[in-house]
Amino acid sequence: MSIQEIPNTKPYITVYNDVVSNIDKTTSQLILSAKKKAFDNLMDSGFPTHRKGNEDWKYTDVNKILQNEYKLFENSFKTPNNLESISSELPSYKSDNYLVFINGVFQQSLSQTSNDSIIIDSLKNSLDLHSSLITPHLENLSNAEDPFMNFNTALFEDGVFIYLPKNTNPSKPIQIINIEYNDSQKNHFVISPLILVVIDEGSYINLEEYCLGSESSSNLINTTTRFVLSKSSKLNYSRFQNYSKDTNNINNTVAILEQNSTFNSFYLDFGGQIVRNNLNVELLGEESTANLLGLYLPNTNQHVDNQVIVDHKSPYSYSDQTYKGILNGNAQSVFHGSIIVREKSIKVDAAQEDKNLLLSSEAEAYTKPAFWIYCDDVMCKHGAACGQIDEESLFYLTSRGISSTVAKQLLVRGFVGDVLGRIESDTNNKNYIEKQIENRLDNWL
Amino acid sequence: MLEVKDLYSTVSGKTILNGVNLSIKPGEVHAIMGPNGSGKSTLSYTLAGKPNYIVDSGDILFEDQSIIEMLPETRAQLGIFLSFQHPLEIAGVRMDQFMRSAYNSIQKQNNNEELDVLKFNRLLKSKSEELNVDSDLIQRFVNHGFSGGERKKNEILQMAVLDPKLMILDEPDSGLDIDAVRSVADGINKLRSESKSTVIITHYQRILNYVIPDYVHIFMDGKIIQSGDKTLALQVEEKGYEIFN
Repeated sequence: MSIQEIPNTKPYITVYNDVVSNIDKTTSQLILSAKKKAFDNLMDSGFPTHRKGNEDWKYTDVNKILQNEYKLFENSFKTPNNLESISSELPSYKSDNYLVFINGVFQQSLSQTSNDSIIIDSLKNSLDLHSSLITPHLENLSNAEDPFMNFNTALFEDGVFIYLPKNTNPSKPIQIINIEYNDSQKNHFVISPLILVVIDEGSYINLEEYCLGSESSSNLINTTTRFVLSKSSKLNYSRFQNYSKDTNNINNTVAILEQNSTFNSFYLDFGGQIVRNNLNVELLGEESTANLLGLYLPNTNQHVDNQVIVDHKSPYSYSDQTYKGILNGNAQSVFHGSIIVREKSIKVDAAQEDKNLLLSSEAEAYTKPAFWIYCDDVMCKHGAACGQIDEESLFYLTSRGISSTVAKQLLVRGFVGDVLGRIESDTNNKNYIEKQIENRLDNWL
Repeated sequence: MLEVKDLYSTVSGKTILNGVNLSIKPGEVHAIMGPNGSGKSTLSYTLAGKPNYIVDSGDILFEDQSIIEMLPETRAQLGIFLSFQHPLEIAGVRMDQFMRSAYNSIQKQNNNEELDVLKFNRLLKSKSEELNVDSDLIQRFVNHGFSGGERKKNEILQMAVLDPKLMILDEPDSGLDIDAVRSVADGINKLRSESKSTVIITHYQRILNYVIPDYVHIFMDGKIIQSGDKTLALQVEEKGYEIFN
């Protein structure tokens, strides 16, 4: 396939047909029709291109993502007895609710769920048992205009449904472990995880996701995550991504915020070859708040693209985007953050910042803020920066007797320190994140 | 303690120091006074070893050892401290972390005991109390959101903690009101001792009312053109630098 060509959807007709024929006959018509609709949408639109005029994909080449022909993962491998044999990066602490997915397939035997009032189940089971809770949200899956979301909807085979009833505040986090695994065959799989989280009124939860790769994998992991935050609810979401260096990851997340709800997110990207995080936040209710944090530390031959859209659809809503990157080798990063303030959304307060520290002269960071403001009475600000380690600061530290290596470590850690200090999650999760970052920087500096 | 011998140095291809000679014995306080652009700060940076400040000829001996080839951290570990005219803000790095890292680097190099967090924080706290530095500052990011006075006092605090042999203070009173000048001067005086030497680089005579120098040098066009005692500073105050032209 040449670079100029539009990525082809044809190979995925067979994959889609396989998915549909694999589907349990009892599966709800709703899912089947959502899939059909999503697939038709994808066939009509095709995959996006990075041609001129397509600002959303200007710096990320979809052809490179789709140059492999990905097959459907066949769940025929033997489930490992313990996860440690697959990944060395599992968090050392296990919460009461610990959900394991291998190549997008839920592993009941490796997971544990508490008996409290939270519903955590596969999408399939939830449709049977809790159809009234889940149905309203499934309809939205096929309404998506995004080709990769449609791609996910068309191909997902199962997913996870998490529901917090009214006024539920579990003290321990929910952990999702997403592991990609390759049993040494040289196959490229398309993996389509689907996560649906609905938090009812007045409830509060910490959700942690660990996306871990394995050596020989070279997959396309195309995830859809949908968060629905009802009135006065709160979600702290922390996602660590360290997929294989040959795997491409497209991660489509939509968060819907009702009145008075708060969404605190943190994305940490380490792995993958081409990584694209689409984070769309809709502030539907007054006094809703979104604090979106991100750190990305790509190394040589990695490309991380964060596309954040915050849509202020209601007055008195608040949002903040703070993303920072440390780039090594010839790594590339893209940050495209958009803020939309609708006509009647008065007193909106929205801020955005993207800063990049380049540890090498070959690294490239593209940052692009975009604002659509249709209301006068708002406060919006943004900042972007890109540079190398500041020589003046380095001299200041070394003039106090600190070696230049340690001084660089202090400065680089200091660069991400404010983001780390603002993460809302369980202490164990924060410690895990800090340790991961420390290890990576120790290797670089 | 310090011998500067016929020192020439260049910054970005431009010669700034034009044959500086200076000799400082332990316990002495020297003031170097000069107009803006005379190369005073270049002298302080060259002594501290700032990269890109190239010594073309001459030598700098610290305790009889040539330091011109040494990295800034090595000079600091030997006991040279430069208090910056414009102390830098270091985002995300807390004062206590920064100071402990510096303190332990120096201790380690000199085969002295390194301190754990608890012991070091005790030291830092006692030094900040001694110097009347707000203890909140040591928990904050280095110079982040500090006022001009706080930044200068913070330099003195760092100096107190690291306990250098040679203290070079580049414009320690610039931008300060009279109370802050007094407070910074008090700090410097507390740190003076028989075994330590001090170099104060300044445009104005003001701070020398509080830190009394043993010697005053007039610095113009990249070298010392006249030396004397504290009365020389008063002449500058009265008549300006023109009289030396």
